[in-house]
Amino acid sequence: MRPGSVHAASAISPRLIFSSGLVLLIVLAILALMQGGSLVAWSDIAAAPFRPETLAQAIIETIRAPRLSAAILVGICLAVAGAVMQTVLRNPLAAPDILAVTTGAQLALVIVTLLLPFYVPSLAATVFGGVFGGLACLTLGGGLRAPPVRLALAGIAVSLSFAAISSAIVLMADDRASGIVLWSAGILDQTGWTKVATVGPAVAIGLFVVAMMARALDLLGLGEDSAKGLGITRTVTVLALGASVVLAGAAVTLGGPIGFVGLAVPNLIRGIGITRHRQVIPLSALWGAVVVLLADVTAQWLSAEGSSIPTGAIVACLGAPTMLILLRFARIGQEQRPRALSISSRLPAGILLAILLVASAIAVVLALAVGDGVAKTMAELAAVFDLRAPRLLVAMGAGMLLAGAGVFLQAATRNPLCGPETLGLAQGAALFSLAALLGGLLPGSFGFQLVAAAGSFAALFCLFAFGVHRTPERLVLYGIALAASLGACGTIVVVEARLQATQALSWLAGSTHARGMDDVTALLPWLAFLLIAAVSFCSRLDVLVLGDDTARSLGLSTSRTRFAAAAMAATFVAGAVSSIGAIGFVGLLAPHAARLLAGPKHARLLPVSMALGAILVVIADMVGRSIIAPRELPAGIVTALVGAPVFALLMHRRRS
Amino acid sequence: MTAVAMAADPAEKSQGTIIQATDVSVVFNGMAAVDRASVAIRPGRITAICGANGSGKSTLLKCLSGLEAPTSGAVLLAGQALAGLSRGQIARQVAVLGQNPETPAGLNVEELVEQGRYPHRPWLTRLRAGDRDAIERAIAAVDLKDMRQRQLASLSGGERQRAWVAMALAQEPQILFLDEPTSFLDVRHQAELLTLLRRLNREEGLTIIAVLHDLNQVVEFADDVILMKKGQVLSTGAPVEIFTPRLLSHAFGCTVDVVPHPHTGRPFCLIDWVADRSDRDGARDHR
Repeated sequence: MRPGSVHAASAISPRLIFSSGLVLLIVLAILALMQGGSLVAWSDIAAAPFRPETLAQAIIETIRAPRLSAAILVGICLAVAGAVMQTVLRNPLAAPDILAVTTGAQLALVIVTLLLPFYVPSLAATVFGGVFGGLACLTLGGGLRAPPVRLALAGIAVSLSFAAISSAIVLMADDRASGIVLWSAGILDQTGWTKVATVGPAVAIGLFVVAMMARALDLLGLGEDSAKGLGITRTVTVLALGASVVLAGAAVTLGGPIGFVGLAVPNLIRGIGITRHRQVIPLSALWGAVVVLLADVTAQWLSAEGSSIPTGAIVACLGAPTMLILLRFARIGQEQRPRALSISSRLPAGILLAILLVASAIAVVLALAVGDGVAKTMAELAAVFDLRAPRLLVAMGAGMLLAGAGVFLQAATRNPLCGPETLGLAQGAALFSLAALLGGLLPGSFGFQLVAAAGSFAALFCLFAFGVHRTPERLVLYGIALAASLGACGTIVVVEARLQATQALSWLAGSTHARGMDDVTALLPWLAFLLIAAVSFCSRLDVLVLGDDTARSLGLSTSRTRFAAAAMAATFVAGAVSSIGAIGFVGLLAPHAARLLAGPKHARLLPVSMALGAILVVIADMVGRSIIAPRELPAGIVTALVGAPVFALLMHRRRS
Repeated sequence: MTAVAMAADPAEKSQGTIIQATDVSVVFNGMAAVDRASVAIRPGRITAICGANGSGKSTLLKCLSGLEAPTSGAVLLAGQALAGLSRGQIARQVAVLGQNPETPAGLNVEELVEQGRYPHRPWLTRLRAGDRDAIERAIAAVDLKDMRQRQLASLSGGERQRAWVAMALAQEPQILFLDEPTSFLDVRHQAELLTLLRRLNREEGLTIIAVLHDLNQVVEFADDVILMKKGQVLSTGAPVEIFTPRLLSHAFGCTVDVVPHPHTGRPFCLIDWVADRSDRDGARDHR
């Protein structure tokens, strides 16, 4: 019995699943070949094997067939890699993207393509990067036998860090901001057969190794001790993981980082009741190909003339439902409640205040003086003041709101891993902001803010409506999947509507670009609300973190308070995101940093968090404005560069 | 502590009841965790709730303390229906110390005990002199004065349990509920905690209701006992009266013998740990 599989209702015949998959694949393949303009007709596809010398045949051979093959190969690679990882780690949440293998490969690809002056074969880079990412995840999560949810969260933390670095490199090296969308979302466009041809042999070898190991994988599924007793050695484990990393690397080389296929497909196959790897592997491969091809056909069908929606974004939209189903039904061992860092130094109030004042002063001066060129004299400062002051104020306000939201969320869920971005609230507000932008609402207007609030509340609803929040780590895992899905929808909206890429990016990643005094005024009511909420709620939050029973016995109505706190957090997030976009990691980190300085009592924690949040965004914005001036790195990318590794550290600390 | 009508000698029957539960049932997913239980708790006494695992002890405790609303039946607290009281009104009379409560990281003893004042503080006010006094008394009562600035995480299990008791005392309740307060403590700390609770009961008139596992602890510690089996109240009364081999064996589903304690003469429960008699004198594994 595999520990991870979704329990099956009744076994459906593997043969039926195989043949239906095959039929679907063929239909989709024909659709894929015919898509994109009316140049290719039925007759051309029927005639294709005979290679007539027509324009249609040329299009099929040089553009569509390579893309079709790439889609199929990517699906096969990801699904098989996921199936193997799930068995070897005995973790139903394992998959190339979850374990940071995909993002590691992607980061390596970005580095060798954009930074290194000499040529490195891309497959070598992606495999190396994949190994690196996987090892980082295992180190952080606690090794091959780490509890499933923890390992998955560790992998996601590593992934977020790598993705932030990748984005920063892409934005610095490529002055088209649109490049980031192409690089980070998984595009299957092929120019000829080159990539497919170079990657093909590696895929074949990887699949061959996995196929040879099908029986060994069956035994590994029985548990480490029994497997050892039956003669399975560590070599088998390493070989299996190696093959899966090669497959994942090949997939990234072909199509960039495409997620969730490796997670969803093998679990689905096992969920139907198929357990033998002799059947699981080929069926996963087939259905993986079907899923990716379906996503690719959908992406091309949705793509307006001239624009192209990343296939990866279509797949990522399915991330949240996949994770939801897995967390609901898969047999995943129990986790412990995560604990916040227990160090807290408790500086005396005077010293703390002094530190915060000095830090804010430095941040303010830097934010005004540094940017595209450093203002050294008062005259120079005066010249840029009108431009930079509003941005500074917007950054401060948004930072305070996000940090406040983080404190409220962490108290409401009693979970130190929660923040506006790890629960998808920020992404929800950003997606709705984009929609509002398309609907013609002016950023900063009340209607716009209202739509953003609808977004964060929608995310909140999705988060708590399905009952996965019973254990804290599951909540965050689902929250991150939700965030990924909402972010992917955002990407699709951006491409579909052909928003100006810089503008769109500033909503998805967060930036203070071109904010004026109007935006500052628009933030004021939200800040007022934040202050009122903080003052009236801080003693309730103190009681809430003592746990449900204790809080109730102290006279607090816990479910109502928790709901109110989460709703307030969603409101703060909406305020921040509607002004500067989904800037990440501020709401997660500022409360932790504040806890280190001021201890756990909310009367001190809240103001200190807000101050730190403000400083964090101001500094991130300053760095983003100046580092590649005159172009700008969005502040959100800078906060992610710092924040994602700290999130990883939080995971690590909790283990020890 | 708020004055409660109590007798100096617990053997003398106290008048009236402070908590009256009538036909209380709690149903989870179609299963009755508590099944038509009726109990009366007398003020100023220590009542123990006993029973096998899954017999509904903790659920009954939650019902009596107002943490959980029963599916049917009514609980009266000093004559008033719990269902009609607000959380705050209940919390000013009743404190509950849960089983292994979560300790938020970084909190120190004093900050934890302060939280006990929450039900007494009007909205948006700081701690007043009266609150401070209550906190001081609570910390003194559990003998943690020297450790008031220590973080909870750095305390031993026994000290941490005392800190939680102090938080409950700062609440200035008339009734203190405890769910398996001794489960995670070694024998010395168990004895210290029970001594403390008994002192609070005898000196300050605090009514105590506790879920306890150790039958001999119950005999020593409690004035009354509620014995439960499969959600139903099997028997109530003084342990000295109701602890008979037949009743206990029936309640726990294993052989329990009761002999007079060599020192006190009260009942002493002998549990047949290794039920197989033929094995008695043979090689035993370390149980």
